[in-house]
Amino acid sequence: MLEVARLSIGFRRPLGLWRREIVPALRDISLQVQAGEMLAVIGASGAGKSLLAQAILGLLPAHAVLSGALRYRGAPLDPAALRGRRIALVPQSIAWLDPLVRTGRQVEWAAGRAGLPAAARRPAATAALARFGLGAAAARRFPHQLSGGMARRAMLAMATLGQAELLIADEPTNGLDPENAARVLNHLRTLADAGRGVLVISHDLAAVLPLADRVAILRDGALQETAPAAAFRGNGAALASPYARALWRALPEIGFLPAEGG
Amino acid sequence: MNARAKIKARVNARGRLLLTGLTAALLLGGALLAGHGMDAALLRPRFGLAALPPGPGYPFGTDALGRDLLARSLRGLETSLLVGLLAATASTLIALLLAGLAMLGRAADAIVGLAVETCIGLPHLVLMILVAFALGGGVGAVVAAVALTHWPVLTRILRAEFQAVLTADYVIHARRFGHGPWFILRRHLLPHALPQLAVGFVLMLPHAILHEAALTFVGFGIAPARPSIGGLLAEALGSLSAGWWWLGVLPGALLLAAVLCLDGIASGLRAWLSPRVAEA
Amino acid sequence: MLVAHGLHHGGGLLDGVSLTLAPGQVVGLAGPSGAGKTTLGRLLAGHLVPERGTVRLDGVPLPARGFCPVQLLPQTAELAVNPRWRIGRILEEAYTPGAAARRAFGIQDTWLRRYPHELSGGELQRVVILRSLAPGLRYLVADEISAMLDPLTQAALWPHLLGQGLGILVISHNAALLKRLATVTWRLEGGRLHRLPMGDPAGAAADREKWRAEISERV
Repeated sequence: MLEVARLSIGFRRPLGLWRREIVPALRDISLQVQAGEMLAVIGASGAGKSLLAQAILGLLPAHAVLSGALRYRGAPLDPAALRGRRIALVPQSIAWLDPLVRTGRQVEWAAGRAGLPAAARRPAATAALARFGLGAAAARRFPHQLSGGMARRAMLAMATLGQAELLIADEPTNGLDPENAARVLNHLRTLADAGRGVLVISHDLAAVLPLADRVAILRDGALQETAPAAAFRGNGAALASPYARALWRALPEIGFLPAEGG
Repeated sequence: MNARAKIKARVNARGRLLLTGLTAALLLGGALLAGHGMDAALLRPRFGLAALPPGPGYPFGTDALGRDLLARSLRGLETSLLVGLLAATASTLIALLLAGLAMLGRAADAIVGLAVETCIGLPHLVLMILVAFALGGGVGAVVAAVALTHWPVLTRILRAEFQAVLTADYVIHARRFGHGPWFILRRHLLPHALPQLAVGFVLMLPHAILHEAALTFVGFGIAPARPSIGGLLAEALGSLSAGWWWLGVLPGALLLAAVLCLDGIASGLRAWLSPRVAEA
Repeated sequence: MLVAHGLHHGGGLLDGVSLTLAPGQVVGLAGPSGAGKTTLGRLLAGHLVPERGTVRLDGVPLPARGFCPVQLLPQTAELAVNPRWRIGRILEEAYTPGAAARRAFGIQDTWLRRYPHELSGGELQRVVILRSLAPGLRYLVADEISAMLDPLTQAALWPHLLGQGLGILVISHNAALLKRLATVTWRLEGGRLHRLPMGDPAGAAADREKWRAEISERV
């Protein structure tokens, strides 16, 4: 469904007074997301993972320099046409929501953006919120009045209103305690099982592993490996790259071991 | 590629702003030096050369008394800039003092806040005229009038800036590291305040100059014998019906150019002092 | 001994919380979001003054002047540094860390001339941590410090912190992490602390010993 082919993203940066340089952020990234699967892109902060989401959605800042190809269902990806309709984003924080508008209303707006006619928006919004366990009380609140978990679920509702085939979740577990994080990821899993493609961007390997189909590991902007989730077991011998193995063994649940050499 | 595109290609946004600032500063400085260097004879009345329109030898023309308008305008600009500088300095110092006092406690902050909000609402042209009139006119009176009416905006900005810094997490950390109020003032507060101060000061200059011009125009400012832009504009008013357009338009345009230069200098200053600048 | 007694704060957020941290002991603090863990951490480190109750270090209140032996490692590093200071200066605010220490924390020399906004969240977090490890430090309150770090950085960081011999309060959501690090874990919920059973304490302790041995072999 989604194909990323040799994507590289850099930023123009002023150097001192006169020169500018291009700082590479993502290098030569290639991956695919199929319908019905959840692909997790794992990387440390600063590894460039959010840039991938921004590139797909056409939301890169003005000073970004992009090369490589993005394809959706075989054709070159046109962010403006697909964004909000075929491709939806579940953003990282409530900063993406309007702080002055009640949540329910914003979900209705999302319904409008997804192409629903005016009459259908309110019932669709109510239904979407209910699907994620949010009732009328939550709909009446402003974004900052929602807890982290509730806000995340509201944004999930907004993203799934339309018939988006591809969902991109940017750090969906950030700031959530384990129960809420699991709940959000489970919702995403259900959406994948229903036939959508789900791209999860995160730094929390342990949380996404139980639910993802495949995992792509990013390090310093370069793709280390894309492995099936099942390969992350035991001592990680089934993983191809030493970095992925080291990452697996570094988890507190597994070995809590730093890389060789300290 | 023309010069502009060449510069854009090789110099980043920060550099461009600095260039603008430098160019503006050079222009302004050059104009002032030129005015100073001009022959004093050009400023004395020469009745044979009265009311000449701009032409060879007289780039700005001459006024009703035969005085070279360019020389007068440049001298006038000098005076206006001097007045502006003094007034802006005084105003900035008042703002700094008040913002500092506001940090001493909640009561102090409330009093300063009230003072700022009240004074901001007052019509400052009327106030300036009153002050200038009360002090008998002249350069000193104009400086006082402008200084006493322009501190509120900068005070408000500085107060907010100081507040933001003093309540910030990193200041609490600094205290827990054992640093006292003096360290926090010097190393944390000042680096935030100085850029605001500098830019605020430079932006106040055009304000001050324009107000000085207005005061002199209205008759409460600088004495007519000493050239100032406002004075020149006042004189020009009487001659408009005679069709001597250059008497008003050219000094006015010079003032505008000076104000734009100051704005450019402020932008350059801001770019230089701020570590986080727009990438380009 | 760092002792918090009868803390009441935040209009019921903390409703009679008492906690003891012995020298060199690692205690875990878990609990739902917004329950007050960060507030408790800030009270222990002297960033906040409790509405009721006391925080005492070896019997006396926390010092008002000088380097406080209890330091807070905050959740968001961005807010803990002056955005106009360069990294080099930030690092030296409390003391001067040696080059070896900088390397041990993965702080590169190229970072020293940069500004905070030019480093990623994880990188800045490491700077903030090293900054607090001054001589005279005896207790640390680590508020979700490895939540934004990737597993490898996290696994390299904690052995360093543990090796300093400090009493540490580890605030975290991550049960597996707390099991690795803490001998005792509390859960803050409803304004009060509840002791969390660590399953098999002897087994967990043995696991920790085994892990420490493995770490010292690697480093």
